[in-house]
Amino acid sequence: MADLWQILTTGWDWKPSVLVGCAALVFGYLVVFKYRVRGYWPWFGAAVLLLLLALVSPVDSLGDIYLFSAHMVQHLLLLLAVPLLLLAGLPVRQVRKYFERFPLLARLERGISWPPFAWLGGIGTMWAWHYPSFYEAALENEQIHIMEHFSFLVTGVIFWWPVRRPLAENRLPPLRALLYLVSALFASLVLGIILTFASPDIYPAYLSPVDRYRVLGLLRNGWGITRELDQQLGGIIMWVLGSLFYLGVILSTVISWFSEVGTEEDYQEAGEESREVSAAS
Amino acid sequence: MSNTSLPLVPEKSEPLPSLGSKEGLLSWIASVDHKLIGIMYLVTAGIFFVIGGLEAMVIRLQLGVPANNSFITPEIYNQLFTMHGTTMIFLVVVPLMLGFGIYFVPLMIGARDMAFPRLNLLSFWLLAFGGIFLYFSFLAGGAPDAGWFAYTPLSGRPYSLSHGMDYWALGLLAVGVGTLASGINFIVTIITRRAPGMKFTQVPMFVWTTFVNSFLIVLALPALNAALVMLLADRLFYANFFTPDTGGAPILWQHYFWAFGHPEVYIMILPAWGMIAETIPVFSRKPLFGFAIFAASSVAIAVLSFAVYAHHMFADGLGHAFDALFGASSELIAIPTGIKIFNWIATMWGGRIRFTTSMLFAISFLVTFTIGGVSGVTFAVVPTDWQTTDSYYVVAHLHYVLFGGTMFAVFAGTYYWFPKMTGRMLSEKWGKWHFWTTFIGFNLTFFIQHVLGLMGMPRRVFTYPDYPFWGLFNQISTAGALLLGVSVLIFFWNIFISLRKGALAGDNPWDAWTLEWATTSPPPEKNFDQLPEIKSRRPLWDYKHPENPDWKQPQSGKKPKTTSADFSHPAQPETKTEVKNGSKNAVMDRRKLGMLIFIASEAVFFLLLILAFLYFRYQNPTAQFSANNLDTLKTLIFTVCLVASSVTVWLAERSLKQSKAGRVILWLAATVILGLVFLAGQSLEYFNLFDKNIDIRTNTFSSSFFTLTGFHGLHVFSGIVALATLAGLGFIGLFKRAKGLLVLQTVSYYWHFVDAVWLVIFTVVYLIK
Ligand code: HEM
Ligand SMILES: [Cu+2]
Repeated sequence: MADLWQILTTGWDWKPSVLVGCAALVFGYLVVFKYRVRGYWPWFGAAVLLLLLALVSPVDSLGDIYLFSAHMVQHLLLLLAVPLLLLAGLPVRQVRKYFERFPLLARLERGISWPPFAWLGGIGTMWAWHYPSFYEAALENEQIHIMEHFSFLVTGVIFWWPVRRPLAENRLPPLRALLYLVSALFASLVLGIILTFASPDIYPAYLSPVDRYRVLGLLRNGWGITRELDQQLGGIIMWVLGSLFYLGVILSTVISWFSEVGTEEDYQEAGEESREVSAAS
Repeated sequence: MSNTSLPLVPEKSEPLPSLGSKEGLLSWIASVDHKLIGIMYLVTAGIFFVIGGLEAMVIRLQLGVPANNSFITPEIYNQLFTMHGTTMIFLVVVPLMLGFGIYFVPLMIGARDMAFPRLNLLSFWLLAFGGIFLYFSFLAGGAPDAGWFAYTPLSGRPYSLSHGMDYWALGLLAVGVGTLASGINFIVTIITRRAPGMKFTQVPMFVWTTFVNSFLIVLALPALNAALVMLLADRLFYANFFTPDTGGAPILWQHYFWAFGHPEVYIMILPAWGMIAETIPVFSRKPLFGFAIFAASSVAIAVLSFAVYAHHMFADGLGHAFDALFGASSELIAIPTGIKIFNWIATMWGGRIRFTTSMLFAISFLVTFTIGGVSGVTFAVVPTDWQTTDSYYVVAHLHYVLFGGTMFAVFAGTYYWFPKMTGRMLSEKWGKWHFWTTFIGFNLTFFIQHVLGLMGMPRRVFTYPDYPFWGLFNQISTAGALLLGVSVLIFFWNIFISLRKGALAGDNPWDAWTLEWATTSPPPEKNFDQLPEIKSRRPLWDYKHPENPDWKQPQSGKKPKTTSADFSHPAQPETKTEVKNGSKNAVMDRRKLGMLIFIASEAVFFLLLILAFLYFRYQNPTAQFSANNLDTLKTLIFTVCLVASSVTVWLAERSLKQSKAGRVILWLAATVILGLVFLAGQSLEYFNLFDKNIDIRTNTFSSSFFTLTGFHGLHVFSGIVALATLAGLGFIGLFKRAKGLLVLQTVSYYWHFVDAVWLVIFTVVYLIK
């Protein structure tokens, strides 16, 4: 317990870049939407908190130096959870107003929500950054690392956009949304499988980390997280937890799809069509 | 709202074609009518059910007394349990699920047939052929004997000397391809063939579970195919995938097999759940409770099944992280499964239940399936699994879910739908006999096996020592099995007698609500004369109760709710476009859609071969020395040719859009030539390697290299054949017809896919070192 406590307390690293970024995010949010964010700000707040958690908490420090698995948790947060919450935090009415006022913005919005683009953006970023030389570069160079995380956030938002964009009437119709999400799930699942069975030396930096927080002995010997185990764990986190996250969104899509009770007009329309056809046949 | 839909006029009911006359026989074996094909599936499955059942009887007789060395030999015993498992899973349960689907899905969505009737027939013949092929092994020197999951190296050449395993692998390939084709057929049918006005969310639950199931089929079967291909390469061509002494990895077989095998167990239960979700509401006189949740939990299970397959491998020593996470996530499956059980019980709650035979089977399904689910959950606790794996406890589990689950559902479905298929009711009197003998016989046979398993009796061993109670308990089990045998006889007798003397069914004997009951029994060749208006999930209810139709009251009195992940956005009428899709059904041409789904399946197949390649690269770097002999530069040139051929196909398509039929043929010819050049280059590479004494036998690298590129080459070749055929058809005017463009586009999808796969292979094999 004391060990855990040690890690939980010493592992915080309040990087100024993160703090400034988060503050700017909150400030921008409030200003752009003119404080009319009732009902939405809790989602946005949760997103920012989670973002902080991912970037300054021990998850970050451990992932940076010692544990691949911690880094995978961080990546899932940045790529999946935070962007989804950010989207949920956008006040629909304000967003709609902006799109009406600035047609260019609306055009841009339609552009990025072209599903193949958004899908490849999200999945491609995820795959690319796990390619060993890119991954190593990010660990070695803080600038690149920041870029990595930033790109996760951006492509994460773009990835969720087609299925969770604020203007719900433009979202992908349910069946296509399901296809979009399920295929994404598989793409991340496959990455998870590859990482799970990869040999421990594909990310050499973790083989002999610089023991900045003096917890290496604890992790490796005390808790028994060897490099092999760590590699496996990270892969499985991607594989299983990642899948579960997508699955949650998939389920909510199915449920809301099947729970829709159409309006009376919908039914009339449908009825007329089937009459026409049976009359014609 | 006035109800203007036309009355349902019953057409003169055509009896099923008889087998006596010549035309009758032909109309069975060559008909593309989904109803006849469906029945052929069911009958074939029934025949294999009897065969598999007889094998089980022999097994149980052998185990009837302890230390039995005189009845059958261990070798025969091994063949019997292998064939029993393989038969029941691949030739009985899956075909039953498909057969009911093929018969009823088109009827339930108001369609005239499946989207690809001829493909449907092909699926059936692949099943029949694969099954017969598998059984031919008995004559050819020994049936397969390595268990239904055929673990390597036991199933490899050195340990399975007879040709049994070859028959097994080839037979399953045939059956598997047929199943895959059915999966594609279902998806396209359900997307494009729904009756006008029927929204996707209004299909009956059996159709929805079949839909979800088809995705499982399309994505899981390729894993089996990849595994089988590798096994065959090992056995027939002396490759090294699974042979430990030459660097191969037996564990890889387990991964691939269970990546297929675990989804497979849900392939065997999802449609059965759908059947129960049809019968319980009708016999409780209430709509299915919580339709949306039920639909979603089916999706959840399907998706989870891919993520948790490794729970079959707890005894492999894959590591604690592995075990813990897969154990925990397997437990999760119990949630959606439990939700379903809750849905069914809530449907019955307060309903006016009619205890027909069908309903009795459905209710006992709830009991027995739950027991199977509970033992499943105990396996997901890893330490428990270590104690019980490979014991009779597993046998009990899988029979509770497959017999007590799927087969009970099949019986419920049979009693429910038999009148529709034949025009006659199954006898309720014999039905009750059938039910009670089945229920008692089943529980007698398998419940005690839980205990035997906990006492340590291993599965798959031909006899056992005379420990206290082991003999007694096994005798109980054998007695139960004999009773089960009697129950099957009663069932067939019931079918036989009811076909002749059963009460006439009429269109809708159960007063049910879904579309299959809106036509005659059996349905005419075209299925429907008229369809009632479809405005809800229960069109026949609406038709009969114009004063109180489903669509006037929001289902179960609830307002549409946005779910948590929709957060607080106001619900937007997302369905608007869907209504159009649903009712006009013009989503996409059926051929193109079918091709895309096929491509998805092929992608999984190649993905697995590529992963195997990578796996050996990680695990066995020494074999990589052979990789230095690859000729990257030359291959790059041929790669460019292949990419260029994608462009020429695209040009052909463009010319067709500009209706220049002559140019189309030219571009197609260019594509064919480029494809051939690529194949020639590929052969050069092969000969280059052969010269250096590297072939598929050399090491793990060469095995996976030749298998991967070989299969890709095969795909290029079939693409070339398809393109050449198209060009040939072009000469007789294909491209002057409207269909031409669709066909060309369909083939070009495939071609682009094959090229894309090559780019991945090229990157993985040649560029990443
Ligand atoms: C609550 C859900 C379920 C869980 C958690 C579960 C879990 C498991 C586990 C962990 C095993 C491996 C046992 C071992 O070999 O040590 C197993 C075996 C098996 N399960 Fe399930 N199961 C569930 C439901 C089902 C269903 C619904 C089916 C089929 C319809 C099924 C069919 C099988 C079969 C056929 C085997 C035996 C495979 C073999 O070794 O030959 N299970 N189950
Ligand atoms: Cu399983």
